[in-house]
Amino acid sequence: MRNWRYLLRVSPLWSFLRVRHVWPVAGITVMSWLYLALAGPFITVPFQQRSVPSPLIWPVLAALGSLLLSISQSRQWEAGSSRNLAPYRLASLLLLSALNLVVARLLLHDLALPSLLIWYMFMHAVALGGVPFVAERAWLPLAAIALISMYEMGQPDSVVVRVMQRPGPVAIVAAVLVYVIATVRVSTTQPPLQGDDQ
Amino acid sequence: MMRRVLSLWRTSSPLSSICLLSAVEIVVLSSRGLPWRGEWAWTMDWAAGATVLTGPVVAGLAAYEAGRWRSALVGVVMPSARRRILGSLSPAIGPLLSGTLVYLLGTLTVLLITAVSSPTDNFEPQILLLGFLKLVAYVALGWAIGGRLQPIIGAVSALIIGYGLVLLASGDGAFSFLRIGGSTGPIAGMDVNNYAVLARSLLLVALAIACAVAVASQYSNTKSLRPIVVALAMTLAVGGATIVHRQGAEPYRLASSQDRICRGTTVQVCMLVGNTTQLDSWASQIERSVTILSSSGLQFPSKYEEPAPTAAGRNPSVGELFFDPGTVNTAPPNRVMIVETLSTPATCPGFAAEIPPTGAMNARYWLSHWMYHRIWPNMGGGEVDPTVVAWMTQTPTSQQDSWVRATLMNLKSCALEKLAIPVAS
Repeated sequence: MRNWRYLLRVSPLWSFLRVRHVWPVAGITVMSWLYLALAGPFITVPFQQRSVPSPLIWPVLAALGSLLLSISQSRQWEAGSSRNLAPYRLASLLLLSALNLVVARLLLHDLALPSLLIWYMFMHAVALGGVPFVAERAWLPLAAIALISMYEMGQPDSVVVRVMQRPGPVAIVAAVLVYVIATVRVSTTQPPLQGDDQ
Repeated sequence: MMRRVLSLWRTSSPLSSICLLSAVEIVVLSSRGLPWRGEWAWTMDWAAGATVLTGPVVAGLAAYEAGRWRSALVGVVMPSARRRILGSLSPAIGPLLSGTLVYLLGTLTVLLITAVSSPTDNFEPQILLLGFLKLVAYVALGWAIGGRLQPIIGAVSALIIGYGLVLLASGDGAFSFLRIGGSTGPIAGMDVNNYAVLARSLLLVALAIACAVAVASQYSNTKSLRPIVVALAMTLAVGGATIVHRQGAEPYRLASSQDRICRGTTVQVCMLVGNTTQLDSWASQIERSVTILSSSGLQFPSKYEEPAPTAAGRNPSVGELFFDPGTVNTAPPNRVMIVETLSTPATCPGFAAEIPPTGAMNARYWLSHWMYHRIWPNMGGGEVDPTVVAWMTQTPTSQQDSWVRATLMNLKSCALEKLAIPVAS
């Protein structure tokens, strides 16, 4: 038991995960799963005339988890690492996505999975898109787009809901593309030093 | 002092905050084709309602700044500050100024747009104060959350908690005092409930003070001040809750007098003050239609009114205007609204009965379609029921006129039991 704890403290993988907010990511991810499991089929969005399917809120929470995982608490430590950390970054993001999608599939029997996948990939890309440029301030564009999209989903003629209900090939291809580009880019780029790092 | 505040604001990357808040504000204010144009009350309600989204964002910004400032506050600012509690305020100033600036600019813009339409209702800006206080409360909430967390974790947590509160506030529970603005229909015919505004203000200030106490206790040991401030917050909260209990929580209530402005000669069309932008268009279209239909001997009521927002304020002895609340000030009435209005010469409570009067409803439906085809004979298209058109082509005009006269008279006197469609009679 003591050896196991010791290994966790010193292993490069565990150190990497710790600087990548592993506990907050776990917290937010579990919270998003609880939301999926406990929320009713629809959620009332304020200022609107119609309710929004609850599962469409979940990708926003999942994207916040991806955002936290893509930001390092110690960029100088990562920059000075003798190892190439890009595979760690890529693997951790892909693993979180896979885990999220498996749990979503288990919890959601009725919702069409392609719709949720597309929305998840878009939100994931929005979350990671700003990280190479503005580091942790990437939460700002994610917050704006998430809130605006939730507001838009409550509109009687919501474009997002329409696309989600009948996702065409363009939406599917675009979602996969932005997901791959954002994930690979954030994994292979050192974010700019900011705030306390400077 | 001003220079210090501005320098604090500059440290919070105000440009990115303002861009983000502006994007959110613009989306909310410009959505649904600006239906609030032309009515002061609805315009101000809509502007205050934008805090539904900007509130959680300023909470996130305040939490982010609080997280960034934490080590500086503990290590540098607090030990040397003359006023420690004021020193701990520093992280909240930037987000509050950015949020207030965007809120003010957004509000001024929508007020200017409405001013162009010459609104006729009273200018009662109390609801705008609530919008501002909501921003203050959200900044305080974010400040309290972020003071104990890393910046990014604090920002994300405050955003989620802030939006969670917005969702909770949309119900009727304890958090409903955070539901401010966001009316999806006109507010004409309602008055601002000043008691509810006061109560909500007290509750919002109490929330802000409670959060500030939580922050101050983290940085300062001024134990003598803390009980006084906690007592103040509790007094405000209890005061607010008492007013809500006695006077209701809704910020609007039915106006004691339903003031309307009327136009027209043969038949007057009256709309509630605040909803009069399209009144001339309504009056001219009703006038023209009545002139055409009068050739069949139809006796219309002398007045058609826009109904009061609740059934309690409605006048049963006048005709009722059928309008789309979403476009009442922004688009002239369409043909369906005109014939629906003309075929409602009185507000009959029987139409809202538990068991719907099917025969009367069908007769009214036939009458409105007959009117449509008579007023616009060549433009019926798909909007006129073909069954009604077939009856009109097969039935002599005198027989048609006799049925429509009797039907309109029975609708006027609310004799719903006497109503039936002509083929069944």
